Amino acid sequence: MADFLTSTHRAKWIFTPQQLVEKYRAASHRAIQILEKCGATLMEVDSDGTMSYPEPQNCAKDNAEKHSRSKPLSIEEEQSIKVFYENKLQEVCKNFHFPHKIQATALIYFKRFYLQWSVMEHQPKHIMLTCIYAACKIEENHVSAEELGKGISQDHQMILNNEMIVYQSLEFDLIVYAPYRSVEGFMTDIEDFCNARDDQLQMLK
Amino acid sequence: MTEIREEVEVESNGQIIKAVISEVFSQRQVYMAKEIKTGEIVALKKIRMDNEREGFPITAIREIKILKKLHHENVIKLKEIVTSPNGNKYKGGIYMVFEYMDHDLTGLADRPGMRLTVPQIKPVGVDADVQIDDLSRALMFSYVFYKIMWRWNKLMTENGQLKSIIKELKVPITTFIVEPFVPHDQEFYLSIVSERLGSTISFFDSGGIDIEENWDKVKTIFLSEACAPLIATLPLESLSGSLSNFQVYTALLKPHERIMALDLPHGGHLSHGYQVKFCF
Repeated sequence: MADFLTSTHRAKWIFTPQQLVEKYRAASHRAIQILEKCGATLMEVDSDGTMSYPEPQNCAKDNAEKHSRSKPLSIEEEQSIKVFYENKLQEVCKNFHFPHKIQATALIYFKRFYLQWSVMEHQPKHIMLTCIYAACKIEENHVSAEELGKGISQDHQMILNNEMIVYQSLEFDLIVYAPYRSVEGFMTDIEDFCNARDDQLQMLK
Repeated sequence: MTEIREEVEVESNGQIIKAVISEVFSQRQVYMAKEIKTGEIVALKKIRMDNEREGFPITAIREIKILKKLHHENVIKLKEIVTSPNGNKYKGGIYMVFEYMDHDLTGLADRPGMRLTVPQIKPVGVDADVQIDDLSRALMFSYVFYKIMWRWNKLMTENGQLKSIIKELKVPITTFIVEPFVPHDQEFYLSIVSERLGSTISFFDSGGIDIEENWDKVKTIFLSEACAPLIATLPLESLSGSLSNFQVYTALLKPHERIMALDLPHGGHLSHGYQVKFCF
């Protein structure tokens, strides 16, 4: 049964605040190490899920170059970038008039993805679009990558390139649960409750 | 069954854990594989990625989605999904890892001179119905289960355990939640909520789903959304009222749920049966 209680959502993807912080730290730590080694952190991804870190540059020649290197982001900075793109994601969904469910699913995918990776390793813009694309696919509201790319005047190839890595990072746990329906039911219950007459109120109590 | 020996190496979480010696079954790229660490024999099914303009094939996504939802002894277990990176000496690709099954029923049936061993005969002859029946009851009521009851989607182990596989799905699967509902005025409802669409249809009429009368409603709500729900796919037309009702009931019920209807003198309809009480 499509039950939340037995779902991977409940079993694997609910964390305590401490666990979240640890995950952010681990991802950020890895990215910083790569930065020191290679001087860049953005990863190359391919549509079949293979990926590679940038080639290490043998650039430790003069000090001047060392100073010009980019500095790693702090965890707080990463956090605010993520929040920014999470808002962007909602904007995009709104502009496409996607249902709530898709927006919620895409948002959860985005959040889960950046539990595994640091913002420094994958372009959040690309990942955001890929998450929306994946969510459309999974919620059976298919929008072609081309269309999605056109809507925001971006090249759609990067969506397809990133798709596999997104699925992999989600560990193929693709079913997520959104609270909208339950909340709606709860609201109707409350409304009924408010309209109930006194004698019925007694009964309900 | 052609025997091509081929090696595929796959990795899971960055570590190469399985080396694969394979038998390729028919055209589908299904391999027999051995997990190096545990020595467990598994089946690998390659997800075909060619000719896909839309990235990861949606048919495979549906398959993964539905398999992850199902936990039943008569449904094949999807253990995990592994990838084999391009560029090493083996072919790249994405594989689904299943438990290994010895036979498929079509192959068995078509092989001339095939003799089954005693432990196999029992389930094929007698128990098969029970196992499959139990499956359809215990699982969700959706198009898949109707489909997977066919023998060509059945696999069997040496000792006769039957399991269903789910092939790539060309159409979306809609699952339904059935909420039997008894309001205050003692009128019985059955409301069917589609998980995906969030739309609800309620059926009144003393607890019966009068599909025939509501056929237009059913059609507009479900078929117009281009999905293939159970109600639309069950061969209703071949059956008449009470039988088709019963078929829908049995498909929709979860274990231990009960269908109730009014007794004849109290206004029930004969087509729902006299003194109806179906329990599962």
